Amino acid sequence: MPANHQSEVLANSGSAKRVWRRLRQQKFYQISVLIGIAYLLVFAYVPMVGLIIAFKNFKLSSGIPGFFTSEWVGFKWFLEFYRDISFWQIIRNTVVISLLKILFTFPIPILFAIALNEVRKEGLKRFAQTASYLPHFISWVVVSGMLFSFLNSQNGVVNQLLMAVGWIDKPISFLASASYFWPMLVLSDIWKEMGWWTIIFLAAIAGVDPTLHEAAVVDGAGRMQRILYVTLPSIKTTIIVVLILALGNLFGGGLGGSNFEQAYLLGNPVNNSVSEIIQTYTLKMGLAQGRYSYATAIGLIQSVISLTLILVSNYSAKKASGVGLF
Amino acid sequence: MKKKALLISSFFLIVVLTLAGCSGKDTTEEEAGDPAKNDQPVGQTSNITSWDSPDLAWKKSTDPVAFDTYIDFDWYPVDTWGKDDVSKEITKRTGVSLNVTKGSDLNQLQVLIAANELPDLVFTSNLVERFYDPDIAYPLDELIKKYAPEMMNLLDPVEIANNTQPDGHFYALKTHYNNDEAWNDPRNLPSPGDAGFYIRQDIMQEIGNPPLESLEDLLNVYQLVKEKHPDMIIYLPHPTWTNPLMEMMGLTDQNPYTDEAGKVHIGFSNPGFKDYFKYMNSLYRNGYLSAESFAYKPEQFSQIMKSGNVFSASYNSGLADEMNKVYDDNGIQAHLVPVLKALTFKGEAKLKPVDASIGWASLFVPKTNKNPERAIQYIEFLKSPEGDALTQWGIEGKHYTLNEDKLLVRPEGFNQLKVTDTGIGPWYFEASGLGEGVAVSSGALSNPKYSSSVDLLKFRKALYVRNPALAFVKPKADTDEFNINVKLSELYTNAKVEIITAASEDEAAKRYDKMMSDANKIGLEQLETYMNEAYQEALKKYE
Repeated sequence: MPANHQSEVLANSGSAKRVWRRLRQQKFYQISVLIGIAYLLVFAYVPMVGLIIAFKNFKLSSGIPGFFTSEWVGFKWFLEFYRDISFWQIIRNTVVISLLKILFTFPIPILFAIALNEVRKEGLKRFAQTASYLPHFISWVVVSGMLFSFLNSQNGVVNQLLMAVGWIDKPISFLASASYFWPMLVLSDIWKEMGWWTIIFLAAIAGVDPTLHEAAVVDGAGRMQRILYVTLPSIKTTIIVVLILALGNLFGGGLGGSNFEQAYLLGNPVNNSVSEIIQTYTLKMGLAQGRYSYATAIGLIQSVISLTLILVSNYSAKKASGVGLF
Repeated sequence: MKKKALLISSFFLIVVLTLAGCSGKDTTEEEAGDPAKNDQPVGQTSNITSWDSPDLAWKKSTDPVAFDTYIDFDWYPVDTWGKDDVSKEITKRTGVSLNVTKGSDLNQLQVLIAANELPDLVFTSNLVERFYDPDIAYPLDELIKKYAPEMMNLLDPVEIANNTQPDGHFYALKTHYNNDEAWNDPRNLPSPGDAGFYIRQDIMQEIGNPPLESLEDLLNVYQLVKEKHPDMIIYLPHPTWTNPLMEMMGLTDQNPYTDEAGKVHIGFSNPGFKDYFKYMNSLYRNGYLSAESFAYKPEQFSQIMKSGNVFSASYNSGLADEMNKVYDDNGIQAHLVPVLKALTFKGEAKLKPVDASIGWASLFVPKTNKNPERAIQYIEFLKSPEGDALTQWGIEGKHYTLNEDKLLVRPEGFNQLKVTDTGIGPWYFEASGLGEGVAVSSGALSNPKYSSSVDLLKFRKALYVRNPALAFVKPKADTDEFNINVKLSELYTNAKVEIITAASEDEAAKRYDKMMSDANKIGLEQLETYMNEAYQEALKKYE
C-alpha cells in the first residue's frame, strides 16, 4: 500500500471516529431529528407512492394492491380534467381566489404588527393583539354559520343595519350572489387569520436592535421614517420567508390555508360559478364518487403548480434580496 | 450520484415491497377466515314455507354475537345500540347486538372500502353499486343457500328479481319494497319522503280564499299575498328536495323517465323543463322566490320555516305536521296545509309520480364480516314479519296493539316518547314498504291533529305509476357512463339555479340552451343509449 494512501485511510478512520463521537455527544438532539425525519418519511414521502394511481385505472375494490396491479392509462385522467366543461372556470376561480387572498391577506398582518408595535399603551396593545388572534381558533364551520347569521337577507344583522341607515332599500343577497363571494372570502380570511400571523411579525420586530432606532432618532428620523428605514428592512428576511411559504401554499389559500374550507362551506349552487375550486371539485367528482385515480390526477396537477411556484418564488427572492429558503 | 440514486430506489423498493407484503398477508388471512368460501360448493334446499316455522335458521342460533355496523346516513336519529326498547328486544330475541358507527361524511364509506376496513354490516343508499362485487360483499343468495336455505322459499321472487344484479347474484334486499299486493293494501302509503307543496291556510282565508286550481292561479295567489304581506317569504323550496311544482308539470329531474315511445331519458332532458324553468324564473323575477333559498342548508331552511314568515313551501310529506306543531307550541298564528290537488299547467293536470318501486336502502354483508352465518340469520329475522313489526311498529302490547282494520293503536302518551327511547324505526334494515305504510297511516289515529301527511300521501298514491325496470338503468360504478351520469347531475344542480335566477326570460332561455348543449358535450347521448339497453334488458325480468 502506498504511504500516502495509507495515511489517507488513517485520516478517514480518525474523522469517522470523530463524527461518531460527536453524534454520541449529541444523541438526544440527533434522535429528535431522526423522529422528525421518520415522521416526514411515513406521512409525507411514503404516501407519494400512491401518486402512481393518477396514471392508472385504480378501482376501489382492488384495495392497496390495486395501486400496483391496476392497468396503466397514461394521462387519461389529466386529459379528462382538461376537457371538462368547467376546467377553465375551476382554474380561474382557484387562481383568482388565491391571488386575491395573497394580495390582501399577506401585507395586512405586517401593517398590523407595525401599528401594534407603535402603540405606547401596553394594555391597549395587549388587548388588540389578543382580540385579533382569537378568531384564529374558531373553526371555519363555525365561521360559516356566523357569516350566515350576519349576512342572510331574511334577518341578517348586516342587511338590517344597512337598511336602518338607509344605504340600501332591500336586503342584499350576500350568500347567494356571485359578485359578493370573493370579497366575502378575502374579508373573512383577514378577520380570522390576521392576528395570528401578526405574532410572527411582532416577534421579528421585537428582535430589531434598539440601538438602530436610537441612532435614527439621533439623526432626526421621525416615526414614519424609522418604520420605513429601520423596522421594515430589519424584518425583511422574515417577510420574505413567510411570503415564500405563503406562495408555496398559494392554491391552498396562502397564509390561512383556507381555500377549501371557505369554498366548501360558503359555496352553494347559486355562487358555484365563482366558488368551485380545484379542491372542492376533486372532492365532489373524485373522492365522493370513489374515483381515486381521477382525484389523484387533479391533486397532482395542483401540487406540481404549487411546487413550481415555490421554486420560482424562492429563486426570485434570492435574486432580488439574497434571502431564500434554500 | 450513483450512490444517491441507489439509495432512493432502494427506499422506494422497500416501501413498495412492504405495502405489497402487507396486502398479501391480508389476502391470505381473509381467505383463511372466510367461512363462506372455505367449503364451497354450497347450496341447500328447505321445505319450510312459512315465516312462522320454529325451524327458521335465526331461531336456532341465538348465542350472543356483536356486529360492527356502519350506518351511512349522517341524519340518522340513533347511533347507540341497546339503549332503546327495540334494540334491546332484538338482542333478546336473536342474540345479536350492534356496535354502531354513524357516518358523518359521504366520503367516509369510500375510504373504508379502499382501505379494506369495512365493518361487519353496512347500511347505505349511497353508491350501492360498489357493493355489487363479490370481492367486497357477500352475495346474499350464496349465504342464504348455505346458512338459511328456507329463506329462498319465503322471499318474494319479484323482490329477488328486483335486487339481482347482472352477475346473477343479489347483494342486498332493498328496504321498503312493495309488491303489487302490498302496494294495493288500503293501509299502505308511498314513502313519507314524497314531495309535498304547502300553503298557509290562515293567509289564504285572509285574502279571501282565491281559486287555486292551476299553476297560473298560484301566480295570482302569490301576487295577492305579496301585496298584503310585502315582508313575507312567498315561496321557500327545500334546497335539496324534489320540487313538487316540477312534478305538477309531469317532470322529474334526477330520476330517469320514459317517453311516449317507451324510450328512457335522463330526467332533466325532458323538453318540458323549458316551461318549468320559465315558470320558476317568473317566480324569481316577481320576487316570490329568492336566489338565497337555493343557498340554504337544510337546517337553515327549517329555521326559516319555523319563524312563521313563509306563505308557501315545499319539502317532504311531513313538513306541515312538523311546522304546525312548532307554531302551536310557540304561539305563532300560522297553519300550513298540503295542496291536495294536481294543479294544472296550461289546462292540463300532469302530476304522475313515477316509482321504480324496488325499494330504498341496502344492508350489505361485507367480505370482512367475521360471522356471515349469523349475519344472514339476523337478516332473516329482520326480513320476517316478526322482525319487521318489531323494528317498524315497536313491541306489541307495549308500543301498539292492532285494531280491527289492522292499524296501530298507540298507547296514551306515545307521541311524547322519543325515538332514542323507543327505537321504533331506525333499526329497520330490512323494512317492508307495507310496514312503514301502516305505521304512517296509523299516525292519523294516534295523532289526528298533526296528520296532514297521511292525506297528502293518500292523494299521491292514487296518482302513482310503478315501473320497476327503471331502477336498473343506473350505470355500474367505474364505467364511463357512471362518470357521465355524475357530471350531468352536477351540471344540472348548478345550472338549474343559474337558469331560475336569470335576470330576464330570454336570459333564462339562453342558459337553459347552454345547459343542454353542455349536457350533450358531457355525453348525454352515450348515457341514454346505455340506459335504454339496460332498460330493455330489465323489462325482460318482469315479462
